[in-house]
Amino acid sequence: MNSASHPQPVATNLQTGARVALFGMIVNLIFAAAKILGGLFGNAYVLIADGIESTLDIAGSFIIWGGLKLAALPPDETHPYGHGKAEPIAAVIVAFGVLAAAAGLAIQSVREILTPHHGPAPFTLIILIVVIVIKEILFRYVNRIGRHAESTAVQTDAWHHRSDALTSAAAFIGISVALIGGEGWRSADDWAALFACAVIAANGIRLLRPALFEIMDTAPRGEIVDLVRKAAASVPGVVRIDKSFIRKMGLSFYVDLHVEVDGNISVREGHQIAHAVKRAIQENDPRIADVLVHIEPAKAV
Amino acid sequence: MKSASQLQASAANLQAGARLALVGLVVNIAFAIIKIVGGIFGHAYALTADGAQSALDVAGSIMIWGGLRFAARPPDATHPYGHGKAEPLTAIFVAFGVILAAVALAVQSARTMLSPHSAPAPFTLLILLMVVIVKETLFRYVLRFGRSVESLAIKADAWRHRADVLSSIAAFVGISLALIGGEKWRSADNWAAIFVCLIIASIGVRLFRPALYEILDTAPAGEIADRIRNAAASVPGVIGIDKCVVRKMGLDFYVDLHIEVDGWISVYEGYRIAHDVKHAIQETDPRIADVLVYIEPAKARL
Repeated sequence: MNSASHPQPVATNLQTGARVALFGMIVNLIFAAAKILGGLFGNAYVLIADGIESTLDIAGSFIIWGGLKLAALPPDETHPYGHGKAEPIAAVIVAFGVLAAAAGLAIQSVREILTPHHGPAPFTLIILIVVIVIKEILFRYVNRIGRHAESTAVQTDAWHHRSDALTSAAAFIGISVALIGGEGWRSADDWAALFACAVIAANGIRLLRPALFEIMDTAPRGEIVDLVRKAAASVPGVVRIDKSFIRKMGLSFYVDLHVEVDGNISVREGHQIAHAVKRAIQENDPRIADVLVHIEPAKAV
Repeated sequence: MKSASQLQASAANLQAGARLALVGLVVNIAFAIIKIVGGIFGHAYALTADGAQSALDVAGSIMIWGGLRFAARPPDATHPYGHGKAEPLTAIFVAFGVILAAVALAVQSARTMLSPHSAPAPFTLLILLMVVIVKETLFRYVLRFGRSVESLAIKADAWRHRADVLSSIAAFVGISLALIGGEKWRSADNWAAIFVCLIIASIGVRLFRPALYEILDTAPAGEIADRIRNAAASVPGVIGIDKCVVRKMGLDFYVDLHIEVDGWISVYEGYRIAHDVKHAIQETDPRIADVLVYIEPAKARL
């Protein structure tokens, strides 16, 4: 185990992620206040609903931020494999919050459609345009960081901004229809709110899946397995690679490797090969936090 | 990897837990119908809301059933460490469900408190009494089983039954007050419901912690690490035990162990010692699904 060399780039990525989450929180706070006040005075239910969703986002950003902070802690006595799993857990909790918000808003929208009310005020449209533009910019920026750091939680956060932009766009269309259509189209903004709920729920499920896979210790897909095996096989003295298990812990990876060597060499030599294998693998990818090499005598020998 | 008999032990426990979830499902369906019908005819709003919640509980039972069965699956190509983590995940789902139920109940009660309604009929009390008895029995039985196999998800399932007991008691007290006190006490059942919401929400929050710890791969507390070390040290050829790291995957444990042996023996002999160590450890505790032994030359001999 090398707790001392817990990869540096991982910790920095996590810190950038945490900063981005904090920034998103402040933006959401301002928007939530603007939307709820605008919705109340402008008589647009969809805007109030949108504002409540932004408020929930603040809670979501707070959880992601906390999760990332926790995930960045180095391994310790009680958490020998590090705290990386805090990251997908944060993603799961936020995804749940998003799903619950979608359900709550859908129920409210249906209620609003069933009870007639006044049409919305035109100034609410301006609030929405501001929200859509800023949220779309935020989505692109945060998503780039999340992809770069391969963090489920940061990407979750990014899609949250995108879903905000989408719901606001739906609200914009709904209020416009209600304003242009007049009397008969009063509930258009409520229908828009209902549509927004479907988008929010779909996003919640989207976020949930990868986080669940990670918690389940699903073997990571893609080339990382091949890279690990190739790096190990290139070490002198390695006859064959048997099992290679990889699991993801937040932003780092842990590898369990079964390496076959000549059965007649000494344990000391075998140990040296094991160390060389570990070094070769970690040099290949700094995100690999630890490699446990199990030395076996090669079957052919 | 693990032998067939060990696989069956934890998988069988998980499947027994899944069966208990099915019992809960059937009971919830029956209660949902009785409560909703009784609530509508007996003018007891608390009972109708309770019934709606039982109906939602059916969905929860299905999820627990599915989660436990998934956790019981053996390791495969995409899940080399097995599917055990589905077990604490299921517990987290349940915790969420319990908290949501508390919130929904609070919202509904607050809403009806503001609108006047007619007094509840006495026979609704009988329904609630039956619910309390059946659900408390289920709670005790499921909790005992969950404790014996140390399953967070099964224990969480048990607490769902207890939450039902509490909300039914609140409805019982509320309806009784409304019946005895008359006009002035009409909204008593709603106040009782709101009080119970707080208790249920706190149960939900309490269910979270242990499940989160397990997903974080927290080193299990207690003597399991000591027992593993002792078992490994008793194997001939083992000079010292370095690191011994244990993690829990559902009902199974996975061990990473660093042992020190004479550096001049062959890899072949070292490998045999590693295998003996693995067997010795797995014999002490059938819940240990796999042991990965890392062989090191003893430092004193370098």
